[in-house]
Amino acid sequence: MTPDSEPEPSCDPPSEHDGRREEPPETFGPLTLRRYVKDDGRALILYTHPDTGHAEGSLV
Amino acid sequence: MVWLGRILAGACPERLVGAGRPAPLTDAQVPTRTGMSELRYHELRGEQVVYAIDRQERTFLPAAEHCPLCPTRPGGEPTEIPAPAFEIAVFENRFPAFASPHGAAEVVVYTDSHTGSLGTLTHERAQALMWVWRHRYAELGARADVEYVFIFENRGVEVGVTLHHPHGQIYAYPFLPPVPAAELAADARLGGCAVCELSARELSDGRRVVYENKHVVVHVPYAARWAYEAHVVMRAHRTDLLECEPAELDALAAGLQALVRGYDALFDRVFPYVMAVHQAPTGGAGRGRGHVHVEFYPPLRTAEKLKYLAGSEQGAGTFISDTLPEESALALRAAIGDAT
Repeated sequence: MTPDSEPEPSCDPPSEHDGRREEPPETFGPLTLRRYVKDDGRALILYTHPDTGHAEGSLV
Repeated sequence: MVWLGRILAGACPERLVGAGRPAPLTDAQVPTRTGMSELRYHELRGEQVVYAIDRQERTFLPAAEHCPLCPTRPGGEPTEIPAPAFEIAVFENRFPAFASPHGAAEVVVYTDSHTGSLGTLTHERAQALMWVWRHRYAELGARADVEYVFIFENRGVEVGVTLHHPHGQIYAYPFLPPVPAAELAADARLGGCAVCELSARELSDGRRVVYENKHVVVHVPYAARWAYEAHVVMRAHRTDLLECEPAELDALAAGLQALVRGYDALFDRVFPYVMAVHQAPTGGAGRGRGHVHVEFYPPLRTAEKLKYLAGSEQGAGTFISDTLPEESALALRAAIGDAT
């Protein structure tokens, strides 16, 4: 495993959004990922990449 | 007598999956069929069979306006991804073949655009996808209930696709499936890394190599089972995506995209395939052994004709092919060149 592959949690606090739990963003290599728990309990991760980014992953 | 895998009765009745070598159970111990997956060991074949009966209910080829993998537009129909836009999304499959505490099943959505393919993604997006695969391999592979992380894509109704939106899947198996087990057996048979050995043979021969870049070689294997089967192989021995340097991940994305674009150019049509990412097992005796490579199994043998797995393939386990790998490699190499 290369050093850049370790997930690095940020210092942002967890938040609630429309009943879906949202964790603070993490980084993994060049990616930023945001974790959510869907209304039915399933996990969802939205990934963004600095070279392709247009969506910050905020939920509706 | 019914033979099942390990049963955790009552622990998680909606997500019950057996695992490991089978233990005999009486009929009374057979779980009910509703809402659970079940693992049975096929003694004659020496392999596991998964019964995921809830998958019968899964969404089947919905119209684009009802696609569950599209973003949820404000005021629009809710989808699996409750965001108005996204780049790459991964979520737990609503109809899982495997679920915690006996593995996992995830969906990887490549883009929020309903149309396109791995081949039509921007290269930057394809590179990002390699990092997503790496992340999921790391996270799922670290779990105690996961022995093998399998990233794959089914493309086209010819291979059973139920959603057209560009996406792949991940199954995190609680056991080592037969194909990666056979690759480990090949290592033992060849006295070292079989993928390294076979890739060296292909490069030496050259007739079946269809694409190369600095870190990746794509070839039609010497004993291809499918007419246009191709393997995308890391040149350096890397057991999994976590061992790859960033430049190697970029090269892998380039190799995959070149191949998929070449496939689509070959017969000037969307080319169906099964794509299988093979990496080292993350648990069990095979842990850490392997060589990351991506195998493609396209069912087309001509623009209009499919290869079916029939008597010899299913009943005897021997593929009969009507196309020589050298001939298909020649055509595929030209198609990749045309598509570049």
